[in-house]
Amino acid sequence: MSDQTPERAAATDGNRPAPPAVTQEGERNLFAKMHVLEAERAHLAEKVLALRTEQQHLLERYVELEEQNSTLTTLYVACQRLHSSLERAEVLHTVREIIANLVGCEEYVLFSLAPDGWLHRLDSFGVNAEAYARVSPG
Amino acid sequence: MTRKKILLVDDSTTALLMEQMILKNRADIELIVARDGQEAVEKTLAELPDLIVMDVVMPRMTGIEACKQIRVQGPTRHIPIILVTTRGEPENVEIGYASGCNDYVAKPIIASELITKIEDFIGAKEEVLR
Repeated sequence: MSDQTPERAAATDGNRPAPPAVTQEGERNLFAKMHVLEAERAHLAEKVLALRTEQQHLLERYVELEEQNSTLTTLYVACQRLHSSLERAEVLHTVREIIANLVGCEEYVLFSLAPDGWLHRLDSFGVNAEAYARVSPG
Repeated sequence: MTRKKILLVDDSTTALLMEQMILKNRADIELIVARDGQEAVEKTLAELPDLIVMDVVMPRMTGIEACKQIRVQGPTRHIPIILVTTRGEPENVEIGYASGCNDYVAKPIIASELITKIEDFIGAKEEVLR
């Protein structure tokens, strides 16, 4: 009577090398190794999850910083332009440009307070200028 | 790395400065500037830029007219044009597309939006974001 398992016998018949016989101790070792690998896999899965969460957080932070950067650029340009001249007409023109290009307003009126107590229109766009020639501060 | 040439057209110094600030440190992009539509057409013919970012309302020649002129000239007809419109002028967007522009951005210009559109046209993602 042969002590070979059917699988070993089939393997030997096909001229293939027979797999090593698994002893009880070997089986225990294999199970132990399997448990270790499973634990390692679970640990790595946790790590992947943590890294994905961190990546998401960093992405959100990047978008936040890009927005902040854009705002600071706008502020820098506005300040740079406002301080580029001391001439009244040039300053008024710059204010108009900032309002139109950097703030993105479609309607704009700039008033100055006159000695008569009324607000007088200095500059405007997108509105009926006549209607805002002179308005009460109240 | 291929150096990409972008023509910025605006009569407003503030708008031009803003566009230059957004693009000047973004890698290997060469910026050329024109102050109105007429100058834009001339500089486009002379420099053959890879992309044009152009305002609509300008003295001498509007962005729409400049767009039409650039589209009828052989060497410049293929150059992508992004029009810069004011938010409250949706009619300019339609007229802009009819005149041959490829895309538009609304004022106030948002840096990330402008860069994304530029990347779409000149395919310079790596260079722009370097």
